[in-house]
Amino acid sequence: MVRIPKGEYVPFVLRSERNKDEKAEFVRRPTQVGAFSLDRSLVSRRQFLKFLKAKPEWRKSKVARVFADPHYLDDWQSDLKLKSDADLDRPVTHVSWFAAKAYCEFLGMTLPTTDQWEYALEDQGRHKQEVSHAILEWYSEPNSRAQSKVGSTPANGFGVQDLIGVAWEWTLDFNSFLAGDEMREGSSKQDALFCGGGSLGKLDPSDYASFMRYSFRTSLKASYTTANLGFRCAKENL
Amino acid sequence: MKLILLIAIVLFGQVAYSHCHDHEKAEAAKPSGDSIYQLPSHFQDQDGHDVSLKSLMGQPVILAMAYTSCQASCPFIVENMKTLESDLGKKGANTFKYVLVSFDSKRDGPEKLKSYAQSRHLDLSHWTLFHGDENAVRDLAAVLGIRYKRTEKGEYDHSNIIFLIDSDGVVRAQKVGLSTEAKEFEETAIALTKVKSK
Repeated sequence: MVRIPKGEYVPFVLRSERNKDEKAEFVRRPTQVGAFSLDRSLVSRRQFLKFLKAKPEWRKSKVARVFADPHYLDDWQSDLKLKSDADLDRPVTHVSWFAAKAYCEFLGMTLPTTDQWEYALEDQGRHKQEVSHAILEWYSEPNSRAQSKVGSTPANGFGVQDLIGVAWEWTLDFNSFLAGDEMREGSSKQDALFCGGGSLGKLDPSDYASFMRYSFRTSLKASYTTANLGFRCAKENL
Repeated sequence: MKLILLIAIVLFGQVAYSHCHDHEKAEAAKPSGDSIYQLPSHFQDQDGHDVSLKSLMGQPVILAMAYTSCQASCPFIVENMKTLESDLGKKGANTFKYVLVSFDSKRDGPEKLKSYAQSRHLDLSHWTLFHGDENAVRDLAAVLGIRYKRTEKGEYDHSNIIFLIDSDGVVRAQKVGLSTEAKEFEETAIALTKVKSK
């Protein structure tokens, strides 16, 4: 794991604030993130297999449907067997939020919050252009790195690898972003579908790369599994 | 005792059928794979009693997540649930449990929930209000598909949904938004009381 120092970053999600004329405006405001530790890279199949051996209730033949959809660990040959040993060092995908969280908790850790993950990606503004470019390149060819092994992309300034270009990642509070269905309606309907107009988040469409990530997160439900969605763990610094 | 019985069955094989039947009865108490009661979560109710989520199994439940200091939509959610309670009661469907789970782990402890129930005139013989820690709240919201976020001011932005959950813990209907239109939801609710759970 890598120790990430405390700091601030400006999240993608805009905040609603009252301006001097008492009118609601959507603004970007920095968010503080406390010091924490983050997995250097994504959890691999090798690591997930150890977890499955210890916790049979998370094997694909046994998992409760409410915790993982029917595609859970789809590309594994069977409960404890991969299709090839070459797969062992690839990031584990086709895992639900519940399964990812259970893995991290098994190791005394947790899933990173969206703020922690985005703060790690933002890397204190280092190599901004390269990061932006790499993200957009990856999004335009999303399956180009599907076979990548964990640790295949260079570490950023914090020492974290594979935040871009390998797999999308679960966060602890992926369901905090109230975009999508709830945001599509006009303001009166908005209040009806969703409580909390005072600090309702909104997305800045000019940052396409971030928009993709946040949109993706809002499309997820906790039991979903997909071929390019994996995770890594985090830990609060004591 | 059970071990002796087991050995007896293996040796004589005569009571195999009744043993299987007993085994089935024991298994029926376990939530199915689609049941939200697969969650091992615990909460405290408005009387401060520790209650497992699973303890709600056995009767149909109408549930929503809200919080007591919510000024915007939560009062409407509670009113909608009270209207459902009254409508369903009139149609003879009064085995439902009405459950309100608070997002606000910090401020909505049992005492606060109790006083909220009293101020809203909630019939506590049908209603129960839950306080949970952040993990319990997060897991329940996740299993139900509820989006929520705690704001800097300690308020909660959240989806407005009322759930109809059968006695096995499977979600059967959702009422999204604040409209008072509830015909389909009520029909599904009544149908649940007519079907015997296995």
